[in-house]
Amino acid sequence: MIGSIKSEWRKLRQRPAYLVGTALVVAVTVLVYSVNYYQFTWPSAANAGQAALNKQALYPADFVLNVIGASFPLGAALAIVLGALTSGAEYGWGTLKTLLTQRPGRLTGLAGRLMAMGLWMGLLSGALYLGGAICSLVIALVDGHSINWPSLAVIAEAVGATWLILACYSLLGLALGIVFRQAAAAVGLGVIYLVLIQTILVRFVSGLSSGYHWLLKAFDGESAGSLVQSFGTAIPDPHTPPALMTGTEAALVLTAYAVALAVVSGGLIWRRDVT
Amino acid sequence: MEPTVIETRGLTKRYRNGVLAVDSVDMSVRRGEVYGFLGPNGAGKTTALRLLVGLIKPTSGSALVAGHSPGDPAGLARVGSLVESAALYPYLSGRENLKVVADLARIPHSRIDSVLAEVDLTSQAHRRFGTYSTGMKQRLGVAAALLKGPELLILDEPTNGLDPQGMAEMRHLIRHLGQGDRTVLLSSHLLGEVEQICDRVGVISQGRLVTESSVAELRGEPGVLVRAEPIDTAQHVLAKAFPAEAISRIDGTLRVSVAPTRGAEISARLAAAGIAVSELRPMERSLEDVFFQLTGEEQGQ
Repeated sequence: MIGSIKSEWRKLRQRPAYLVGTALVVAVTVLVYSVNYYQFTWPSAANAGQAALNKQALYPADFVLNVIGASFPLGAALAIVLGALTSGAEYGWGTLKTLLTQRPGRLTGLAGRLMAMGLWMGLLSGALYLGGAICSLVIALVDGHSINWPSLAVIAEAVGATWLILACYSLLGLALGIVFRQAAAAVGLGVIYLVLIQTILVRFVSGLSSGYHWLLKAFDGESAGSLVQSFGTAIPDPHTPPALMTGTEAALVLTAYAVALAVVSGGLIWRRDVT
Repeated sequence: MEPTVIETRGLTKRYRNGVLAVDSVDMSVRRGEVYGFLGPNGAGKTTALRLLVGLIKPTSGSALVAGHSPGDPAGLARVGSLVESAALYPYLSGRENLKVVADLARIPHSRIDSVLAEVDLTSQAHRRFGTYSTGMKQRLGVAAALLKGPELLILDEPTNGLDPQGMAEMRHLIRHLGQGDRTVLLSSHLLGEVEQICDRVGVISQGRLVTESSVAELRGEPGVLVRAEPIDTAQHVLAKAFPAEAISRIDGTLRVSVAPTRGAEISARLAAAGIAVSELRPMERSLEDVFFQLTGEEQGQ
């Protein structure tokens, strides 16, 4: 197992898509901070009062609430892409047969890949929060504002929540890559599912009588959204519907999805011929 | 230690679309030999090799490879393979690719330098795999297969896509790899390649193993073909010089089953008897002749 993890980690850490993807998410965080800072510092006359309040959210005390919003759907979409590339490209390059003819068995090899991908999602989560923390620190220093950080427990919980969301969606991408035996179709369907298919299904279930609304809690997107919302919001938005479930419930649903996707991936890798 | 490294019994693979790719193959590869697995394109060679390394599962039948079922981690630890073409990561260097494989196979990285040297890629190891020529890719694929120091090396058409120079280098490499105790299973549709390299061959056609024997056995006994007039007298003259069972008549010619070097002696005897010889040439079946006969393919196709 250790050999499989080392091998997969070596591939991930040198893969341009992973490096670019991680840099992209951090860059988007920096961009959002920069744009918000500009808008809240030099607002239009009509928004001057609200802007002053919103600007408080850019300081270190609220950085967790700002960053966790990047976990879903932006982070989830990126995780789907990375997961799909991880498994799908092995079919395209034919490297799956190289992996499966080495020493570890099929499931050990897959387990190594899941572990390495999970580690990378942890690194991505850490980079996201580090980027947000640095942005908020710079803004506080520029404004001469006091620097108060959230507690370490809150930061750790938030990083954990982001990791869970990213890990779950990277597994979705990985499973789709295995199902389709290629990356392109997996990326396409995964992202369309995230931004469109699920939205349509949620709208459909919401339109049913209230007796069926418990079904909404089974959607991964609703769970990820609830998990993010469970930390609160830095800048309240009156148009955002309230969370459907508690953070713990949401984490459990996402964990169940992650386990199911890992089992499906393992079953396919175990049973299928590699031609 | 078992005398055979690969043993299959009734090995069969029928794909879901109904195609019978491998049909009841009984194959036996002895320890230490270079075994040529011959067959025309589409005969089932690659499918059979995929079965042997556990990439696909048989519909029926069984196989033992290095003493284990195909795909068993304990067996895979003793088998190096290059199935179809070298499949490695284009964005990693040659050396990094070998590290990926070494980690998976639990081989120390210190072995990488020696396998790179063995395939003559040391100076190119820093370059990305995606920038390699076809020949370099194949050689790196062989290096990856050699990392484990395998007792069995399975190579599937390793000279495919190579230029004549690359093919010659690869043949030389395979001959070198087949020395000593290592067993090499070489699949190919290039008869000259197999004839030059292999000790024994198995010929597969339409999924069935139609024969399995040494190259010399397949070619059969050499002889001398004689076309002379009158043929009855010529046969009578030769029967005095050679055993009767060594002389046969085929399509108006005489075939004398003796070493082709005795052609001059035959010529002299016939001339001394006043027999006009219009043709006298060595008869030696090439592996190509045998192959076409066994697979029912026509030459030139």
